[in-house]
Amino acid sequence: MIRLAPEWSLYYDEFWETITRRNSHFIKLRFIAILGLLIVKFYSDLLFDFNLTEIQVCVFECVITTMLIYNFLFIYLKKRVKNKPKTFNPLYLSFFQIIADLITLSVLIYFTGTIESPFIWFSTFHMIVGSLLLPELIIYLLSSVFILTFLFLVSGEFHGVIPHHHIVGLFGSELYNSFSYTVIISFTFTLLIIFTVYLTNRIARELYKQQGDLLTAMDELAKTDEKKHKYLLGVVHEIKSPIVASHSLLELIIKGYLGEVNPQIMEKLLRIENRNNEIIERVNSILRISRFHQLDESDLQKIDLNDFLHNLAERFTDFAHSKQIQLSVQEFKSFEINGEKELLELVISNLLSNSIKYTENNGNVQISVQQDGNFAVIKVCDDGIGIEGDDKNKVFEPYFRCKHKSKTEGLGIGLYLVKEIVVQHNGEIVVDSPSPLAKENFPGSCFSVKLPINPHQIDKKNKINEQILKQRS
Amino acid sequence: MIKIAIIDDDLDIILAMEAVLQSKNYTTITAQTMKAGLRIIREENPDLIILDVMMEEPDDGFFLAKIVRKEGIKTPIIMCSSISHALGMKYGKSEMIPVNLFLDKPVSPELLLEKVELLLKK
Repeated sequence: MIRLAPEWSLYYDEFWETITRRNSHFIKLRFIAILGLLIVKFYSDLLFDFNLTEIQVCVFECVITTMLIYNFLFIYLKKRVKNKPKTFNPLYLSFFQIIADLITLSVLIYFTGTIESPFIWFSTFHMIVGSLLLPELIIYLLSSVFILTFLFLVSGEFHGVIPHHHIVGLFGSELYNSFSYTVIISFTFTLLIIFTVYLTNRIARELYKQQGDLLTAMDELAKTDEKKHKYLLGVVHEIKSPIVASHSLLELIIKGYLGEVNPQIMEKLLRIENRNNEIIERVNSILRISRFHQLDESDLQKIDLNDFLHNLAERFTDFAHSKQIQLSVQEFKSFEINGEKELLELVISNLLSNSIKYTENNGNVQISVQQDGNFAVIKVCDDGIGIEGDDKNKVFEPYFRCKHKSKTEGLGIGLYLVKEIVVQHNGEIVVDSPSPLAKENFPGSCFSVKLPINPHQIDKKNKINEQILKQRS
Repeated sequence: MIKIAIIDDDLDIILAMEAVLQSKNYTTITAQTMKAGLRIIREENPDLIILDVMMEEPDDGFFLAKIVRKEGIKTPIIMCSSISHALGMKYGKSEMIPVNLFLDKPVSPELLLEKVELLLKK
């Protein structure tokens, strides 16, 4: 089979969607054409006094029936085509539709007077659509055959070799044997077809080329992103290795494998260990950010919210106790959500850690959950120092630090990361300050994370990108 | 005497693990490259292997594990990596990588001993 689809269509669903849409249009338009022919057949005598001959009426009936049959055949085939270049794809369907139409149109033109036929102009339709869809060679071939057939019939009728079918009511006298009329109409018609095909073809090729370039560029971009990701992995590994090594040695001392340690030194060692843990956690965060691009639906798991939140809260008990902060999870009827557990853990841990960090001794940090239709709303509220008006809009920006919080350590990527993850899950995050737990001088803040319960859909463009990557790599 | 092989390109990691394992009276043998690792496994026939993923090449650890299994050596292998867990790689489910356990670095002494004991019992 001749290959009709351009190379890049292999990786591009939208191309096939467009062709499929055009095929459906073709089928609908054909029904309209059939209706038009029926009207002409039944009412032309009444309206225009056409006086169709018996043969012409018979041809009209045959053409209408044939069109109906093949239109239903195309509807049937439309459901069977596959969007693959080498199989019977939508493009072949377009091709066969154009051929079938041109044949029936030729028959109709011949039996309505060829050079006198008002139907000749309908062929420009097929030429335009054909130029948009089919490869250059094929559409040029099709239009040439069509024009040559037309000219052959015209000259045959002119010389009396082929019988002429005149529509009596259309022109008073017969024009097919008038030399000047035949030449002028043939010339304009041929020119019209040639220019239509040529111009449409050029514009369509240009567009296809641009589309192809765009896809190549997207492809390049995806590759660069992949390279960047690998580079980052390397860098992170380089950074993490020495920290991990020193951490391991430190633990030997702290856990007493090398003998007793003086309490004063131990206290400092524990501080070093804490700081070390912070670095490791941050490096892991960077890795997770870079991993977002690779998140797909297979990473989604069912998460029981009650277990999930209680486990997380437990991890922070020590930290909360060190500041005598009351950390609690409000009771709720548990339900499951779909998400990537590790990333969502990162979201809630970040919020908890911030809340505890920015709440004074003897304060409160509270986790609560509500089900809101297809969403779960998880709130982390505290009665800490709160967030000032202007800062509320900025806390989710990368590298932003609240003015009055500058004493507390941190890179300022925490909440940015949190938002990224929530958005990746098709959720939302907002912050309120003062919080419902507010006390005098302590407005507190309240972060609400709204997550869809059902699996998130990665948007279409990403998917196409992924497909390109998968198929090309 | 139970013999444990530690294969890691980072000498400090080796020292730390040795100290932890020796405290429980395990004998340790060590190597810092893939080649040396393969040699000690073949020659000294350890009861357990602790293996790092990234050595000279990013996948040396995997490669070594595959060679070991190909040679019919069924010694349990613990694989350690500093980027696996953070990346959420689900190594455990994959049969492509013939190791018994994955641990995310840094591995705490308690966790190391617990897992070593668990694998040795089997």
